Amino acid sequence: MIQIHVWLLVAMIAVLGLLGTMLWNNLRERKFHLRVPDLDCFEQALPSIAGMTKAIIMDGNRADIVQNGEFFTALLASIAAAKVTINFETYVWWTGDICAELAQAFAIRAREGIEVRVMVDAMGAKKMAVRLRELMQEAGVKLVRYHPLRLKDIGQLNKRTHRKLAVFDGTTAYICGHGVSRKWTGNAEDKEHWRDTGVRLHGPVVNAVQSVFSQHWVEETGEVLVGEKYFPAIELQGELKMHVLAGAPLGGVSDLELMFKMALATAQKEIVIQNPYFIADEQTTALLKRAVKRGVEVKIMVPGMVTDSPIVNHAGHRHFGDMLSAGVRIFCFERTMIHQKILIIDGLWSHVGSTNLDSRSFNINEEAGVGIIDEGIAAELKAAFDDDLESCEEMKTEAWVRDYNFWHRAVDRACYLLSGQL
Amino acid sequence: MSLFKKGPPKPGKKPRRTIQVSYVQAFAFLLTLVILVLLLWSTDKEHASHVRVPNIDNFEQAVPSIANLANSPVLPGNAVQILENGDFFPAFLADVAKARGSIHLETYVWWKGEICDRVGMALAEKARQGVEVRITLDALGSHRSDRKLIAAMKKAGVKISLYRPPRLSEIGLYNNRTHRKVAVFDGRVAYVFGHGIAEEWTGHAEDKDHWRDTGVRLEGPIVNSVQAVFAQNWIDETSRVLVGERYFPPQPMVGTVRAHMVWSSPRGGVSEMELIDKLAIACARRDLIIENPYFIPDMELVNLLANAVKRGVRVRLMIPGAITDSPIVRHAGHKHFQTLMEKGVEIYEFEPTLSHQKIMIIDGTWSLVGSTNFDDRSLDINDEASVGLIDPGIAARLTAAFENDLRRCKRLDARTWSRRGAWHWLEDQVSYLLNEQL
Repeated sequence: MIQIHVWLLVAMIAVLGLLGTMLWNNLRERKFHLRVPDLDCFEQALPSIAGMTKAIIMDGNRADIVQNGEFFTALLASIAAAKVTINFETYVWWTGDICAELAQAFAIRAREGIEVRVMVDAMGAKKMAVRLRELMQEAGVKLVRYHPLRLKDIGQLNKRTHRKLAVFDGTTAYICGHGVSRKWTGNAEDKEHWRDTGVRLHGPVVNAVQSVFSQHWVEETGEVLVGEKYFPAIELQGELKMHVLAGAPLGGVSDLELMFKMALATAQKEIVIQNPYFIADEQTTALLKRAVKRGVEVKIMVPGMVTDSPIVNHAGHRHFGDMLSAGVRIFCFERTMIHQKILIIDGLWSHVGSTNLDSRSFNINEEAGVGIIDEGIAAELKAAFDDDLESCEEMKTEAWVRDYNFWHRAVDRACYLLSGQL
Repeated sequence: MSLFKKGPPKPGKKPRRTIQVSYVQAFAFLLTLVILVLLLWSTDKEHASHVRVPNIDNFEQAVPSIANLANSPVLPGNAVQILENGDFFPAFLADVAKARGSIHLETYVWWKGEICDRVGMALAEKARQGVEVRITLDALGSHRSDRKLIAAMKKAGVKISLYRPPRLSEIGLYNNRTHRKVAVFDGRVAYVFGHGIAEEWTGHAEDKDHWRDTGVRLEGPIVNSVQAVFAQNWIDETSRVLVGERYFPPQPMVGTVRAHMVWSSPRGGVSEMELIDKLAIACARRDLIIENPYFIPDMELVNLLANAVKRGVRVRLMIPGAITDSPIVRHAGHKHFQTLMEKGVEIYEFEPTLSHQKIMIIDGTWSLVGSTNFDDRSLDINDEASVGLIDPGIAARLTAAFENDLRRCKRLDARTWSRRGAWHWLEDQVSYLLNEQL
């Protein structure tokens, strides 16, 4: 037993309280409420959306949409075609033949003298086979794990890289929702093969994707990517205008949340959302309801029974009743897990990337996405959405209200309480 | 906290003043303390400042990489006007008078004096005319401002947002100030500068009460980037979002200068500012000029500068002499001067007054102008904004001004420096201990 003075005890508790507050200050999200002036058309908002998220709109790009397992076919072809550099960053690296195939492809190119850099999230890639890791490293692939468990970085442990991107020779880039696992092969035909969407990009915007990759690379390794191999001067290649969004939150307003909410607030005709993890907070709900009120058609597609995260599903239900009765249309995809993160506004602007619509993506993790300003791309993504609708069940207000019993409500609310971390 | 409970009072002693704590409880307290400190430190610490740069042939080649890496894409088609010293205010006030839609200003220093009244009244007048006037003032940097003036401005309709005032709920953010100095008029004209709103910046560096500083007035596509910089902290404090052509108009090409905006609010990641400074120095091939009022190099920067000299780059450094508003920063900066000079870096002390400008010029092609000092506070803690200008003409004009200043400088030499006296040496060492917060 130690005898201590009362005031010392008070001081000790105060110190703990102060440190706790400082820590909370550093980590918590900043709430903000949008006040958006009246706009005539959504297009007017685009320079703001790009500007506020530290991006500029770049002209002269080309994009190809890659659906489901097509992604790996395209990626492997790009790996085989690369001439100087291959840079790849992802969150999920699980198991399946595709993992071996990809590791093998990287290793072959590294042996041929191409610079291959692979960055995987230390948590998301826990399941990566040792055999594959060694295969790549022996071949000369620079393999780096993002934020591994280290005592001195313990406060960063919750912050993962959820980005999924690849850059080849500084001239071709991919931004997608796909992880490296057998789940993403196939064609969304059953529960074991998921639905997802990515884009392949050509043109000046590839420089921006390269810089997103370089940021984490320099953070973990200190190696700076400088020169034509990484940032070549890129000729205009097509007609598309694009801007890249990369969220690196932690204190301050989240760029991605800002982008998402600004898009909802400024849409004039149509909002289409496809997302595997959609947890609307009060403000998002209000923005969607207001959109419906000003005549915007709002369609949201979320996972139905097939999901890898029931808790997120339940937390998402929290405001469904409210949205449904306001006229928001919500569809549950039943065939398999939908994993794509798509946002289409007014048939003009589409956002494709890694960003889920929950606090983890907005305020904690590192994300990457691309905004594409083009009616053709928007139409193509919308057609895929409409196609997916056939495997969906629409939530009906009456049915929702009738079946939304006490237990379901209790589970939803309990899950929603955790939404700051989901 | 249920860790502690009152122990049983000891018979015969006054029980009120002391409490018994078991070793387990004391240990639990210490453990919690250690965990909290560790968590706090690891969320906030600076990250990977050791950059390795491959060999490159020339600096021009590296500029796009440097800009992109710092999240700062290069935009062509801008017109740039350099504003020295007190020239800043007449130009600024003229743009205030011309503004029709919106005036945005973010600054760290707003003290007291005639120029503060003039700027304040001009802004208030515009607000009365129906122009949207928004000002972000750093709560710490502007705590010496005239309360009555601020109240009058608010009454006239000027929207003033104090950045990070002392609030218990935000005590962990208090150290993170906005040191940015930017202004945007109608989304068409922007200023990026080192000046504060105070009498010190009104003259022409003629005496120690009138400082030396440099800013730029920008037109063209880069203005949208400056607007975004302003908008960021505006949302942070007010939650109001700036949307639409009034703030982000389509920008025609109006000049020939390529420009990129570098802005950082470093919180637990790599700071864009630190990255761009170090990259640029590592990539210089012929000529490197740094003018900065607060220059505290760490060993990595010393090595970068030494390596530059080694590969044939002429490195010239201008810092304040005896006239400075922060002697402690000056002393901390001295820590590695001996090494720098021995490695061949030319160091000049500007004597007539405080040289407050933050300028870097490389290879006669690229110049960086803005609010960013060369110390950890600017590179790792505060919010900063600088603009990179890719243009030989601009670089030549800034270099000419630099060489003009050189005539009023004293060059330090290694031999005399090494005999600077024990007391001076001690001051340098002690000051440097604080360098992470300076």
